[in-house]
Amino acid sequence: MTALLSGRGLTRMFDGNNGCDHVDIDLHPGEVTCIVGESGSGKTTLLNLLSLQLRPDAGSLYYRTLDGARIDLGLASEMDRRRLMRTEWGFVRQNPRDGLLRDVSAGANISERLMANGARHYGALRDTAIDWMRKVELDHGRVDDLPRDFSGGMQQRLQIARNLVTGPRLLFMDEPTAGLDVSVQARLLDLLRTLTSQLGIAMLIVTHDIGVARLLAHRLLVMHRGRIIETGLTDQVLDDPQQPYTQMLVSSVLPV
Amino acid sequence: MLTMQFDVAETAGNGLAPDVMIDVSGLSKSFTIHAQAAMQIAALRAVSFQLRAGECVALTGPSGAGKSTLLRCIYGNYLATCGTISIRDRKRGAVTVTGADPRDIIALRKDTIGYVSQFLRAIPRVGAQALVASSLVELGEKKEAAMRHAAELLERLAIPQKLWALPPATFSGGEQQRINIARGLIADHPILLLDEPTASLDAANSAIVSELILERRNKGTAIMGIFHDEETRDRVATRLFPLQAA
Repeated sequence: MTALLSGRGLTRMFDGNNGCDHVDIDLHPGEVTCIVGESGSGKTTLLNLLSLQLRPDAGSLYYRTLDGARIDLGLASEMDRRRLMRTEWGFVRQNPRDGLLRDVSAGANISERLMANGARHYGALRDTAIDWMRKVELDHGRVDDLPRDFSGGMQQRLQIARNLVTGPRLLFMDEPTAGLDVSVQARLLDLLRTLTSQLGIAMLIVTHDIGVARLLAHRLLVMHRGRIIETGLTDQVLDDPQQPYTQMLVSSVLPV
Repeated sequence: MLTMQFDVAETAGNGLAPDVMIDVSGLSKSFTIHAQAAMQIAALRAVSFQLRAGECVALTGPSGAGKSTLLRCIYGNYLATCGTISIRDRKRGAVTVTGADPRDIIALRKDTIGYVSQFLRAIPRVGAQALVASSLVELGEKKEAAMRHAAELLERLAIPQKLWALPPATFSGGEQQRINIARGLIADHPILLLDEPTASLDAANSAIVSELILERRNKGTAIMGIFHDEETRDRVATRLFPLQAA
Protein backbone atom coordinates (compact mmCIF):
# COMPACT_ATOMS: atom_id res chain seq x y z
CA MET A 1 0.00 0.00 0.00
CA THR A 2 1.31 3.43 -0.85
CA ALA A 3 1.47 6.20 1.69
CA LEU A 4 -0.96 9.11 1.62
CA LEU A 5 1.48 11.56 3.18
CA SER A 6 5.23 11.08 3.48
CA GLY A 7 7.77 13.24 5.24
CA ARG A 8 11.47 12.83 4.45
CA GLY A 9 14.19 14.44 6.51
CA LEU A 10 11.74 16.91 8.05
CA THR A 11 13.67 19.37 10.17
CA ARG A 12 12.62 22.46 12.06
CA MET A 13 14.65 23.53 15.05
CA PHE A 14 13.94 26.18 17.66
CA ASP A 15 16.78 27.69 19.70
CA GLY A 16 19.15 25.19 18.13
CA ASN A 17 18.00 22.14 20.10
CA ASN A 18 14.22 21.91 20.37
CA GLY A 19 11.99 20.81 17.50
CA CYS A 20 12.11 18.18 14.84
CA ASP A 21 15.34 16.69 13.57
CA HIS A 22 15.48 14.76 10.25
CA VAL A 23 12.23 12.85 10.66
CA ASP A 24 11.01 10.31 8.11
CA ILE A 25 7.35 9.36 8.41
CA ASP A 26 4.61 7.71 6.31
CA LEU A 27 0.87 7.97 6.94
CA HIS A 28 -1.32 5.34 5.28
CA PRO A 29 -5.04 5.31 4.39
CA GLY A 30 -7.18 3.59 7.03
CA GLU A 31 -4.39 3.66 9.57
CA VAL A 32 -4.33 5.50 12.89
CA THR A 33 -0.82 6.59 13.84
CA CYS A 34 -0.03 7.94 17.31
CA ILE A 35 3.01 9.98 18.23
CA VAL A 36 3.93 9.68 21.89
CA GLY A 37 6.71 11.38 23.79
CA GLU A 38 7.22 13.88 26.58
CA SER A 39 6.72 17.64 26.36
CA GLY A 40 9.43 19.20 24.24
CA SER A 41 10.15 15.98 22.33
CA GLY A 42 9.08 17.64 19.08
CA LYS A 43 5.80 15.81 18.53
CA THR A 44 3.67 18.91 18.06
CA THR A 45 6.33 20.45 15.79
CA LEU A 46 6.15 17.31 13.64
CA LEU A 47 2.36 17.50 13.56
CA ASN A 48 2.53 21.14 12.48
CA LEU A 49 5.11 20.41 9.78
CA LEU A 50 3.02 17.56 8.37
CA SER A 51 -0.19 19.59 8.41
CA LEU A 52 1.44 22.58 6.65
CA GLN A 53 1.06 24.92 9.63
CA LEU A 54 4.82 25.24 9.81
CA ARG A 55 7.48 25.41 7.09
CA PRO A 56 10.45 23.08 7.54
CA ASP A 57 14.05 24.33 7.61
CA ALA A 58 14.87 21.24 5.57
CA GLY A 59 13.17 18.13 4.27
CA SER A 60 10.31 17.28 1.93
CA LEU A 61 6.66 16.42 2.18
CA TYR A 62 4.90 14.31 -0.45
CA TYR A 63 1.15 13.79 -0.84
CA ARG A 64 -0.75 11.23 -2.89
CA THR A 65 -3.61 13.04 -4.61
CA LEU A 66 -7.03 11.48 -5.31
CA ASP A 67 -5.97 10.60 -8.87
CA GLY A 68 -2.91 8.76 -7.55
CA ALA A 69 -0.25 11.37 -8.44
CA ARG A 70 2.51 12.07 -5.92
CA ILE A 71 3.06 15.78 -5.38
CA ASP A 72 5.77 17.65 -3.52
CA LEU A 73 3.87 19.90 -1.11
CA GLY A 74 6.92 22.13 -0.69
CA LEU A 75 6.52 23.13 -4.34
CA ALA A 76 2.70 23.34 -4.32
CA SER A 77 1.08 26.75 -4.67
CA GLU A 78 -0.39 28.42 -1.61
CA MET A 79 -3.83 28.00 -3.20
CA ASP A 80 -3.38 24.24 -3.58
CA ARG A 81 -2.12 23.94 -0.02
CA ARG A 82 -5.13 25.86 1.31
CA ARG A 83 -7.54 23.77 -0.74
CA LEU A 84 -6.04 20.57 0.68
CA MET A 85 -6.26 21.82 4.24
CA ARG A 86 -9.87 22.87 3.75
CA THR A 87 -11.20 19.81 1.95
CA GLU A 88 -9.05 16.69 2.11
CA TRP A 89 -7.54 17.28 5.55
CA GLY A 90 -8.95 18.04 8.97
CA PHE A 91 -7.29 19.38 12.10
CA VAL A 92 -8.75 18.84 15.57
CA ARG A 93 -7.01 21.09 18.06
CA GLN A 94 -6.28 20.42 21.70
CA ASN A 95 -8.30 23.42 22.78
CA PRO A 96 -11.70 23.52 21.05
CA ARG A 97 -11.61 27.32 21.30
CA ASP A 98 -8.81 27.29 18.70
CA GLY A 99 -10.71 25.02 16.36
CA LEU A 100 -14.22 26.48 16.49
CA LEU A 101 -15.70 29.78 15.33
CA ARG A 102 -16.72 31.55 18.49
CA ASP A 103 -19.53 33.77 17.23
CA VAL A 104 -21.54 31.41 15.07
CA SER A 105 -23.85 28.53 15.95
CA ALA A 106 -22.93 24.85 16.25
CA GLY A 107 -24.66 24.22 12.93
CA ALA A 108 -22.76 27.00 11.18
CA ASN A 109 -19.50 25.70 12.62
CA ILE A 110 -20.19 22.32 11.05
CA SER A 111 -21.29 23.80 7.69
CA GLU A 112 -18.43 26.28 7.36
CA ARG A 113 -16.07 24.04 5.43
CA LEU A 114 -18.87 23.00 3.07
CA MET A 115 -19.69 26.67 2.41
CA ALA A 116 -16.03 27.47 1.86
CA ASN A 117 -16.11 24.78 -0.83
CA GLY A 118 -19.09 26.42 -2.53
CA ALA A 119 -22.18 24.81 -0.94
CA ARG A 120 -24.95 27.42 -0.68
CA HIS A 121 -28.27 25.63 -0.17
CA TYR A 122 -29.26 26.60 3.38
CA GLY A 123 -31.70 23.73 3.99
CA ALA A 124 -29.22 21.09 2.81
CA LEU A 125 -26.42 22.60 4.90
CA ARG A 126 -28.63 22.57 7.97
CA ASP A 127 -29.67 18.96 7.37
CA THR A 128 -26.03 17.94 7.02
CA ALA A 129 -25.15 19.77 10.24
CA ILE A 130 -27.97 18.02 12.11
CA ASP A 131 -26.92 14.67 10.68
CA TRP A 132 -23.35 15.21 11.90
CA MET A 133 -24.51 16.31 15.35
CA ARG A 134 -26.26 12.94 15.60
CA LYS A 135 -23.13 11.09 14.45
CA VAL A 136 -21.02 12.68 17.18
CA GLU A 137 -23.80 12.14 19.73
CA LEU A 138 -24.75 15.79 20.25
CA ASP A 139 -28.35 16.84 20.81
CA HIS A 140 -29.33 18.15 17.35
CA GLY A 141 -31.98 20.31 18.99
CA ARG A 142 -29.04 22.53 19.96
CA VAL A 143 -27.95 23.20 16.37
CA ASP A 144 -28.47 26.97 16.86
CA ASP A 145 -26.56 27.24 20.17
CA LEU A 146 -23.17 28.92 20.30
CA PRO A 147 -20.07 26.77 21.01
CA ARG A 148 -19.55 28.39 24.43
CA ASP A 149 -22.91 26.96 25.58
CA PHE A 150 -21.53 23.44 25.18
CA SER A 151 -19.30 21.59 27.69
CA GLY A 152 -15.63 20.90 26.89
CA GLY A 153 -16.28 17.33 25.77
CA MET A 154 -19.20 18.43 23.59
CA GLN A 155 -17.11 21.20 22.02
CA GLN A 156 -14.49 18.60 21.17
CA ARG A 157 -17.13 16.46 19.45
CA LEU A 158 -18.39 19.54 17.61
CA GLN A 159 -14.85 20.15 16.39
CA ILE A 160 -14.65 16.58 15.13
CA ALA A 161 -17.96 16.95 13.26
CA ARG A 162 -16.79 20.23 11.76
CA ASN A 163 -13.68 18.53 10.40
CA LEU A 164 -15.24 15.31 9.17
CA VAL A 165 -18.12 16.96 7.29
CA THR A 166 -16.10 17.30 4.06
CA GLY A 167 -15.13 13.62 4.15
CA PRO A 168 -11.40 14.25 4.63
CA ARG A 169 -8.79 11.64 3.74
CA LEU A 170 -6.51 12.65 6.58
CA LEU A 171 -7.21 13.93 10.07
CA PHE A 172 -4.65 15.49 12.42
CA MET A 173 -5.38 15.62 16.13
CA ASP A 174 -3.34 17.34 18.81
CA GLU A 175 -4.00 15.88 22.29
CA PRO A 176 -7.73 15.47 21.57
CA THR A 177 -8.59 14.14 25.03
CA ALA A 178 -6.36 16.35 27.20
CA GLY A 179 -8.26 18.36 29.76
CA LEU A 180 -11.42 16.24 29.58
CA ASP A 181 -12.95 14.27 32.45
CA VAL A 182 -12.25 10.54 32.27
CA SER A 183 -15.88 9.60 31.50
CA VAL A 184 -16.02 12.25 28.77
CA GLN A 185 -12.69 10.99 27.41
CA ALA A 186 -14.06 7.45 27.16
CA ARG A 187 -17.02 8.68 25.12
CA LEU A 188 -14.79 10.68 22.78
CA LEU A 189 -12.40 7.76 22.34
CA ASP A 190 -15.28 5.40 21.61
CA LEU A 191 -16.57 7.85 19.00
CA LEU A 192 -13.14 8.22 17.37
CA ARG A 193 -12.63 4.46 17.33
CA THR A 194 -15.98 3.89 15.63
CA LEU A 195 -15.59 6.73 13.13
CA THR A 196 -12.09 5.72 12.06
CA SER A 197 -13.04 2.12 11.44
CA GLN A 198 -16.15 3.22 9.51
CA LEU A 199 -14.54 5.96 7.44
CA GLY A 200 -11.17 4.32 6.75
CA ILE A 201 -9.31 7.62 6.87
CA ALA A 202 -5.68 8.18 7.83
CA MET A 203 -5.26 9.76 11.22
CA LEU A 204 -2.30 11.20 13.06
CA ILE A 205 -2.78 11.76 16.78
CA VAL A 206 -0.31 13.44 19.08
CA THR A 207 -0.81 12.36 22.68
CA HIS A 208 1.13 11.91 25.86
CA ASP A 209 -1.49 9.42 27.06
CA ILE A 210 -0.29 5.86 26.45
CA GLY A 211 -3.80 4.52 27.15
CA VAL A 212 -5.25 6.64 24.34
CA ALA A 213 -2.52 5.39 22.01
CA ARG A 214 -3.16 1.73 22.93
CA LEU A 215 -6.86 2.05 22.33
CA LEU A 216 -6.81 3.99 19.05
CA ALA A 217 -3.53 3.53 17.23
CA HIS A 218 -2.51 0.86 14.78
CA ARG A 219 1.02 2.21 14.62
CA LEU A 220 3.02 3.98 17.29
CA LEU A 221 5.89 6.43 16.88
CA VAL A 222 7.98 7.35 19.90
CA MET A 223 9.67 10.75 19.77
CA HIS A 224 12.57 11.80 21.92
CA ARG A 225 14.68 14.93 21.51
CA GLY A 226 13.31 15.73 18.08
CA ARG A 227 13.78 12.29 16.59
CA ILE A 228 11.63 9.23 16.08
CA ILE A 229 13.50 6.67 18.15
CA GLU A 230 11.14 3.72 17.87
CA THR A 231 8.20 2.72 15.71
CA GLY A 232 6.00 -0.33 15.21
CA LEU A 233 2.69 -2.05 15.85
CA THR A 234 1.17 -0.32 18.88
CA ASP A 235 0.92 -3.28 21.26
CA GLN A 236 4.36 -4.52 20.20
CA VAL A 237 6.04 -1.20 21.02
CA LEU A 238 4.20 -0.97 24.35
CA ASP A 239 4.69 -4.62 25.41
CA ASP A 240 8.20 -5.17 24.00
CA PRO A 241 9.86 -1.72 23.84
CA GLN A 242 13.43 -1.81 22.51
CA GLN A 243 14.89 1.63 23.19
CA PRO A 244 15.93 2.81 26.67
CA TYR A 245 13.66 5.87 26.51
CA THR A 246 10.62 3.82 25.37
CA GLN A 247 11.20 1.29 28.16
CA MET A 248 11.30 4.12 30.65
CA LEU A 249 8.16 5.72 29.16
CA VAL A 250 6.17 2.48 29.23
CA SER A 251 7.28 1.51 32.73
CA SER A 252 6.28 4.94 34.04
CA VAL A 253 2.58 4.42 33.26
CA LEU A 254 0.42 3.84 36.31
CA PRO A 255 -1.40 0.51 36.05
CA VAL A 256 -5.18 0.63 36.40
CA MET B 1 14.74 6.66 10.79
CA LEU B 2 15.19 3.81 13.19
CA THR B 3 17.97 1.28 13.40
CA MET B 4 16.42 -2.07 14.07
CA GLN B 5 18.31 -3.84 16.80
CA PHE B 6 17.31 -7.32 15.83
CA ASP B 7 18.50 -9.51 13.06
CA VAL B 8 15.72 -10.36 10.66
CA ALA B 9 16.24 -13.18 8.24
CA GLU B 10 14.45 -12.17 5.05
CA THR B 11 13.31 -15.58 3.93
CA ALA B 12 9.81 -15.50 2.53
CA GLY B 13 8.08 -18.58 3.90
CA ASN B 14 6.66 -19.59 0.56
CA GLY B 15 7.79 -23.15 1.04
CA LEU B 16 5.15 -24.11 3.62
CA ALA B 17 3.92 -27.68 3.13
CA PRO B 18 0.18 -27.75 2.35
CA ASP B 19 -1.14 -28.45 5.84
CA VAL B 20 1.52 -26.48 7.77
CA MET B 21 -0.08 -23.42 9.36
CA ILE B 22 2.87 -22.12 11.39
CA ASP B 23 6.56 -22.68 10.72
CA VAL B 24 9.00 -21.47 13.38
CA SER B 25 12.66 -21.80 12.55
CA GLY B 26 15.61 -21.02 14.83
CA LEU B 27 13.59 -18.57 16.89
CA SER B 28 15.42 -16.83 19.72
CA LYS B 29 14.13 -14.07 21.90
CA SER B 30 16.01 -12.10 24.49
CA PHE B 31 15.03 -8.96 26.35
CA THR B 32 17.44 -6.11 26.97
CA ILE B 33 16.59 -4.25 30.18
CA HIS B 34 18.17 -0.83 29.75
CA ALA B 35 17.32 0.32 33.28
CA GLN B 36 19.50 -2.56 34.55
CA ALA B 37 22.68 -1.66 32.64
CA ALA B 38 21.41 -3.35 29.46
CA MET B 39 20.98 -6.68 31.21
CA GLN B 40 20.13 -9.47 28.77
CA ILE B 41 17.38 -11.95 29.63
CA ALA B 42 17.21 -14.92 27.30
CA ALA B 43 13.65 -16.21 26.96
CA LEU B 44 13.81 -18.51 23.92
CA ARG B 45 16.83 -20.13 22.31
CA ALA B 46 16.75 -21.63 18.79
CA VAL B 47 13.18 -22.91 18.88
CA SER B 48 11.96 -24.69 15.75
CA PHE B 49 8.67 -26.48 15.07
CA GLN B 50 5.74 -26.74 12.71
CA LEU B 51 2.07 -26.59 13.58
CA ARG B 52 -0.37 -28.35 11.25
CA ALA B 53 -4.09 -27.98 10.65
CA GLY B 54 -6.14 -30.09 13.07
CA GLU B 55 -3.35 -30.32 15.65
CA CYS B 56 -3.47 -29.02 19.19
CA VAL B 57 0.04 -28.63 20.57
CA ALA B 58 0.40 -28.01 24.29
CA LEU B 59 3.49 -26.03 25.31
CA THR B 60 4.99 -27.45 28.48
CA GLY B 61 7.92 -26.56 30.68
CA PRO B 62 8.63 -24.76 33.92
CA SER B 63 7.61 -21.21 34.61
CA GLY B 64 10.07 -18.94 32.78
CA ALA B 65 10.66 -21.43 29.97
CA GLY B 66 9.24 -18.92 27.48
CA LYS B 67 5.83 -20.45 26.75
CA SER B 68 3.90 -17.16 26.74
CA THR B 69 6.83 -15.45 25.01
CA LEU B 70 6.61 -17.95 22.15
CA LEU B 71 2.89 -17.32 21.68
CA ARG B 72 3.46 -13.56 21.78
CA CYS B 73 6.23 -13.77 19.16
CA ILE B 74 3.91 -15.72 16.85
CA TYR B 75 1.16 -13.14 17.40
CA GLY B 76 3.57 -10.30 16.55
CA ASN B 77 3.29 -8.83 20.02
CA TYR B 78 6.99 -9.47 20.77
CA LEU B 79 9.80 -8.95 18.28
CA ALA B 80 11.93 -11.99 17.53
CA THR B 81 15.64 -11.49 18.24
CA CYS B 82 16.53 -13.90 15.46
CA GLY B 83 14.94 -16.69 13.47
CA THR B 84 11.81 -16.70 11.34
CA ILE B 85 8.11 -17.29 11.88
CA SER B 86 5.95 -17.98 8.83
CA ILE B 87 2.19 -18.23 8.93
CA ARG B 88 -0.27 -19.46 6.35
CA ASP B 89 -2.67 -16.56 5.96
CA ARG B 90 -6.26 -17.16 4.92
CA LYS B 91 -5.97 -14.72 2.02
CA ARG B 92 -2.31 -14.07 1.28
CA GLY B 93 -0.62 -17.47 1.54
CA ALA B 94 2.60 -17.66 3.57
CA VAL B 95 3.36 -14.47 5.51
CA THR B 96 6.62 -13.93 7.39
CA VAL B 97 5.78 -12.41 10.77
CA THR B 98 9.37 -11.58 11.66
CA GLY B 99 10.15 -8.19 10.15
CA ALA B 100 6.56 -7.64 8.91
CA ASP B 101 5.04 -4.18 8.70
CA PRO B 102 2.41 -3.39 11.37
CA ARG B 103 -0.39 -3.44 8.81
CA ASP B 104 0.53 -6.99 7.76
CA ILE B 105 0.37 -8.15 11.39
CA ILE B 106 -3.00 -6.40 11.81
CA ALA B 107 -4.31 -8.18 8.70
CA LEU B 108 -2.99 -11.55 9.96
CA ARG B 109 -4.75 -11.05 13.27
CA LYS B 110 -7.98 -10.08 11.58
CA ASP B 111 -8.12 -12.95 9.10
CA THR B 112 -6.02 -15.77 10.45
CA ILE B 113 -4.90 -15.79 14.09
CA GLY B 114 -7.19 -15.88 17.11
CA TYR B 115 -5.44 -15.24 20.42
CA VAL B 116 -6.82 -15.73 23.90
CA SER B 117 -4.63 -13.96 26.42
CA GLN B 118 -4.77 -14.43 30.18
CA PHE B 119 -6.28 -11.03 30.75
CA LEU B 120 -9.12 -9.26 29.03
CA ARG B 121 -8.42 -5.80 27.70
CA ALA B 122 -11.83 -4.13 27.89
CA ILE B 123 -12.78 -1.12 25.78
CA PRO B 124 -14.57 1.75 27.56
CA ARG B 125 -18.31 1.81 26.97
CA VAL B 126 -18.39 -1.38 24.86
CA GLY B 127 -20.65 -4.10 26.27
CA ALA B 128 -19.60 -7.77 26.54
CA GLN B 129 -21.72 -9.01 23.65
CA ALA B 130 -20.64 -6.17 21.31
CA LEU B 131 -17.02 -6.73 22.31
CA VAL B 132 -17.26 -10.41 21.40
CA ALA B 133 -19.08 -9.59 18.15
CA SER B 134 -16.53 -6.98 17.10
CA SER B 135 -13.96 -9.40 15.65
CA LEU B 136 -16.65 -10.81 13.35
CA VAL B 137 -17.83 -7.33 12.36
CA GLU B 138 -14.23 -6.48 11.44
CA LEU B 139 -14.26 -9.44 9.07
CA GLY B 140 -17.25 -7.90 7.30
CA GLU B 141 -20.08 -9.81 8.99
CA LYS B 142 -23.33 -7.87 9.46
CA LYS B 143 -23.77 -6.42 12.95
CA GLU B 144 -27.01 -8.32 13.70
CA ALA B 145 -25.59 -11.69 12.62
CA ALA B 146 -22.39 -11.08 14.61
CA MET B 147 -24.40 -10.16 17.71
CA ARG B 148 -26.49 -13.33 17.33
CA HIS B 149 -23.37 -15.44 16.99
CA ALA B 150 -21.87 -13.71 20.06
CA ALA B 151 -25.06 -14.45 22.03
CA GLU B 152 -24.81 -18.16 21.19
CA LEU B 153 -21.21 -18.29 22.40
CA LEU B 154 -21.92 -16.34 25.59
CA GLU B 155 -24.83 -18.64 26.31
CA ARG B 156 -22.66 -21.70 25.81
CA LEU B 157 -20.04 -20.24 28.11
CA ALA B 158 -22.73 -19.71 30.77
CA ILE B 159 -22.43 -15.93 30.96
CA PRO B 160 -25.72 -14.68 32.52
CA GLN B 161 -27.73 -12.76 29.93
CA LYS B 162 -28.14 -9.76 32.23
CA LEU B 163 -24.39 -9.10 31.84
CA TRP B 164 -24.29 -9.08 28.03
CA ALA B 165 -24.93 -5.37 27.60
CA LEU B 166 -22.45 -4.31 30.30
CA PRO B 167 -18.78 -3.43 29.68
CA PRO B 168 -16.83 -6.36 31.20
CA ALA B 169 -14.31 -4.21 33.12
CA THR B 170 -16.21 -4.87 36.37
CA PHE B 171 -16.85 -8.62 35.77
CA SER B 172 -15.27 -11.33 37.93
CA GLY B 173 -11.99 -12.93 36.77
CA GLY B 174 -13.75 -16.06 35.54
CA GLU B 175 -16.37 -14.08 33.65
CA GLN B 176 -13.73 -11.88 31.99
CA GLN B 177 -11.80 -14.99 31.02
CA ARG B 178 -14.85 -16.48 29.32
CA ILE B 179 -15.58 -13.19 27.49
CA ASN B 180 -11.97 -13.34 26.30
CA ILE B 181 -12.43 -16.91 25.07
CA ALA B 182 -15.64 -16.02 23.24
CA ARG B 183 -13.83 -13.09 21.67
CA GLY B 184 -10.94 -15.28 20.53
CA LEU B 185 -13.13 -18.06 19.12
CA ILE B 186 -15.96 -16.21 17.40
CA ALA B 187 -14.20 -15.43 14.12
CA ASP B 188 -13.32 -19.09 13.39
CA HIS B 189 -9.70 -18.25 12.67
CA PRO B 190 -7.68 -21.12 11.15
CA ILE B 191 -5.04 -20.63 13.87
CA LEU B 192 -5.72 -20.32 17.61
CA LEU B 193 -3.17 -19.33 20.25
CA LEU B 194 -4.39 -19.97 23.80
CA ASP B 195 -2.52 -18.66 26.84
CA GLU B 196 -3.98 -20.52 29.82
CA PRO B 197 -7.60 -20.22 28.66
CA THR B 198 -8.94 -22.09 31.70
CA ALA B 199 -6.67 -20.58 34.38
CA SER B 200 -9.39 -18.87 36.40
CA LEU B 201 -12.29 -21.19 35.63
CA ASP B 202 -14.02 -23.81 37.80
CA ALA B 203 -14.26 -27.45 36.67
CA ALA B 204 -17.65 -27.07 34.98
CA ASN B 205 -16.60 -24.04 32.95
CA SER B 206 -13.21 -25.61 32.11
CA ALA B 207 -15.10 -28.57 30.67
CA ILE B 208 -17.19 -26.27 28.46
CA VAL B 209 -14.05 -24.54 27.18
CA SER B 210 -12.34 -27.89 26.51
CA GLU B 211 -15.33 -28.94 24.48
CA LEU B 212 -15.20 -25.74 22.40
CA ILE B 213 -11.47 -26.24 21.77
CA LEU B 214 -12.06 -29.85 20.72
CA GLU B 215 -14.76 -28.78 18.27
CA ARG B 216 -12.34 -26.35 16.67
CA ARG B 217 -9.59 -28.94 16.50
CA ASN B 218 -11.89 -31.44 14.82
CA LYS B 219 -12.87 -28.80 12.27
CA GLY B 220 -9.18 -28.46 11.31
CA THR B 221 -8.11 -25.41 13.29
CA ALA B 222 -4.40 -25.41 14.16
CA ILE B 223 -4.15 -24.79 17.90
CA MET B 224 -1.18 -24.03 20.15
CA GLY B 225 -1.72 -23.42 23.82
CA ILE B 226 -0.51 -23.32 27.38
CA PHE B 227 -2.70 -25.44 29.65
CA HIS B 228 -1.60 -25.65 33.26
CA ASP B 229 -4.65 -27.67 34.16
CA GLU B 230 -3.61 -31.26 33.28
CA GLU B 231 -7.12 -32.51 32.79
CA THR B 232 -7.79 -29.86 30.13
CA ARG B 233 -4.41 -30.57 28.51
CA ASP B 234 -5.08 -34.31 28.31
CA ARG B 235 -8.47 -33.71 26.77
CA VAL B 236 -7.49 -31.23 24.06
CA ALA B 237 -3.81 -31.77 23.14
CA THR B 238 -2.68 -34.02 20.29
CA ARG B 239 0.97 -33.68 21.32
CA LEU B 240 3.22 -31.87 23.76
CA PHE B 241 6.04 -29.47 22.91
CA PRO B 242 8.39 -29.09 25.87
CA LEU B 243 10.37 -25.88 26.30
CA GLN B 244 13.42 -25.59 28.54
CA ALA B 245 14.55 -22.38 30.17
CA ALA B 246 16.88 -20.64 27.68
